[in-house]
Amino acid sequence: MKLPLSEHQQDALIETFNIGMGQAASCISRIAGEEIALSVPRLDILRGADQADAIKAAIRSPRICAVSQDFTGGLDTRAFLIFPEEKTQEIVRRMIGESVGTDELSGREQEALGEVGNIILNSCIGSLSEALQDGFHCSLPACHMGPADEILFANNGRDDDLLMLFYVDFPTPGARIDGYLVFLLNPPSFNTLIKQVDQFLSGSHGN
Amino acid sequence: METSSPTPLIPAEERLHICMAAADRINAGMMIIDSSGLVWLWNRWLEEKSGLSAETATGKPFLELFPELNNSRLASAIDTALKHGLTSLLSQSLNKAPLPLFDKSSNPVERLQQAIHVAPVECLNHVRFCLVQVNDVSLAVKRERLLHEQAEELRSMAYLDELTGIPNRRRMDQYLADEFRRAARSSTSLSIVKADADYLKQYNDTCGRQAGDFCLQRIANAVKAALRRPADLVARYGGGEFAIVLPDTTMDGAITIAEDIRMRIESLAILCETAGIAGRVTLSLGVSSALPNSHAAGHPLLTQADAALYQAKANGRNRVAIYRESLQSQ
Repeated sequence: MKLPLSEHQQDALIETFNIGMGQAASCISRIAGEEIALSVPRLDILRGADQADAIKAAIRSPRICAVSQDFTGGLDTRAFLIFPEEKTQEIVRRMIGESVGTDELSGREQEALGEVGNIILNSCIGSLSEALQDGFHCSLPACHMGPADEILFANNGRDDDLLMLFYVDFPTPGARIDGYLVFLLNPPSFNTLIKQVDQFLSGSHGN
Repeated sequence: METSSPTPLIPAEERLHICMAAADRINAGMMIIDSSGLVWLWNRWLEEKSGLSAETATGKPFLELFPELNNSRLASAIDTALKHGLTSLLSQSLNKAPLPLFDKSSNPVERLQQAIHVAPVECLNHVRFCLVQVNDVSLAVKRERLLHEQAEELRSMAYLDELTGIPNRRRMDQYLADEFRRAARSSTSLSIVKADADYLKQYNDTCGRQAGDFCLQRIANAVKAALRRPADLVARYGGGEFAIVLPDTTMDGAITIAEDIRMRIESLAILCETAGIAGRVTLSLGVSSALPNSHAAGHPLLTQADAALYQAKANGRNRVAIYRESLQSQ
């Protein structure tokens, strides 16, 4: 499917989110007590009725662990930080610094994961708000575990909703963990975003 | 047309008074910080738990009251709320009691475990303040710690080698990964010793399986006795193989320990006619050591210790060999 974004617009969004990721990484590194690098190398826009299939194809893990937050203001979006469920233990272990080992995340571990999501999502939206000079409000983070489509489309979004999917690189000493940032946007919010990105681009080019 | 207000109007001054009185009644910490970082509200709960009166705290910069929180997660969450209007959550598990708050009656020494919410508060004319809400979660943490300890106890049973009673390979893999990360964080050396009982198969064939099992138990006990620091871990890797994880240990330190273990096993004098050199069961050991780097993909330490162990066997058994880069080319 052709992206409804030009290469310029995409680059601007990826760059903005990478600034946020950099800030999130330094905050998370301080907490974990070791250097953790985070970046978003790629962005996909998914839309239409085939979103659920496309998301299944993109996020290869059948079950995911997600931290969600609702943002309102400059544009309205429900944002998710997603990791494959089987990798969640490793991330939590790395943050808390001890072995967990059980299949279920304890309350303490869910809180930790919620905070990691909160840091990353807030940093990205903060960086977007700075670039677009627009303010946002947000809810507190919530943790979910289960099949990707059930979590992402729990609110029965409309067919013309758009989904921005950023691929997150979360390198660990053992292996790289693939994470995702997902933003669900209704068409007016998506149009606002594009308009603001264009304004930002023309501003930053000094035109 | 006249409409009646559904609620009786309360004068603004009285409303403020009620809100302030409520803030002092809440069973949680509540502070309000303005956009220049000055404390505007410091409720009674915070007065009690911090020992800092509202009179002292209000009007002062938050970071002047708590200079150790400069560049902290809490400071950046407050900044995010004031600058971007975004809400943050500071969990107890990732933030070890950021504020110096104590329950003077039950434990005046240990800080309260805290869960902190940081939220923006928009006032008239778009003036933004930041609300910091602190909840005491010490009880919940204590409960969860207790459950964790019980789960740990159950799990440790699944992590023990049935025959020798020492940790098994599964436990050792997990422990090595944890210690690798810890060593990378603290920039300290991590060493591994792989050991294998010499001629164990022949011993089993000659003396019987039961004697072989007993022999392994004696070896495991002797190795365990040689390790004196609580962080050192010996695990049965399978057959007659053992692996020893030595955190914060250089190559020289690991060689000393390996040599000590070798002599201990030799002096056990587990005799068997065909059991090799001088008719005793002995141990061959391979040592590897590294200064782990958190960016390294995987850890070759075990493979390196294996290569050294192979070398010890090839050099005649009952000896310690160390891993060197050149070993690979031999």
